[in-house]
Amino acid sequence: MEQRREKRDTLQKRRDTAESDRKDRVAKAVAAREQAQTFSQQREEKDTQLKALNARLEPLREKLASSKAAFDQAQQAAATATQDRATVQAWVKGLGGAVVKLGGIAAEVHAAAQERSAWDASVLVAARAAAHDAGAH
Amino acid sequence: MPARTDCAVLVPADAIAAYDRLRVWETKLPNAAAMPALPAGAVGTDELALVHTNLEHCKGTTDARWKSADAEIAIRLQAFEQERTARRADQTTLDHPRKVSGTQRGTVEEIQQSSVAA
Repeated sequence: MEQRREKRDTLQKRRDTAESDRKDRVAKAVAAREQAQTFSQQREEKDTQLKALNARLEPLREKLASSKAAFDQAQQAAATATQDRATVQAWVKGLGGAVVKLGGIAAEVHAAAQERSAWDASVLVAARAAAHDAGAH
Repeated sequence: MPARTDCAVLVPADAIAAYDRLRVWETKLPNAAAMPALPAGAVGTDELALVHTNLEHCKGTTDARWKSADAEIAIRLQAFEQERTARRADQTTLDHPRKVSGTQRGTVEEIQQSSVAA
């Protein structure tokens, strides 16, 4: 009798344990499904947001792409212009020096011309004659 | 460039070419000042003085025109620099997008990362 009771209790305990395990598994499965569903919804929401953002940025992307060649050309032209500006600037600055130099040359030539025009050969001739006369005496 | 028929010999070829390019790039630039003519043959004293006077006048004209041209060039370069800055800002928006609107939170990168994690 006692053995039968113990056996029955053991079986009951096993049943209870099995039922408890089953309930745990069911609960975990439900939780896993709910979590998966939540993740799926989140992913869909993020994908929707991403698409919306990309859609908003698409016109800007197209604008940059379509104007790239013209911009690159303008950039190159601006770089060349910057170099050309420096070249001309240097020449303009140097032109003043060239003018001053030419002015100096013109002044020297003018002075030499004045000196030459003031030259009086008769004075030299008279001096030579005077020296010759002095030597004769 | 004429060979010693005027003072253009004082202008190096690279400066001429540079200004020609600048005038193509910015059409508002004035013409380059014409260089004074040199007398044919030997140059006398008075002629040399005249050349010098003409050259000084030419330098004055060149300075005035270059001042004007340089201002135009500066304006044009500044306008391009503004364009470049705006373009870089647009490119940065694409590369690292911020909030596009107040209702959308986070950047595209953040959304991509959280989407992958999910």
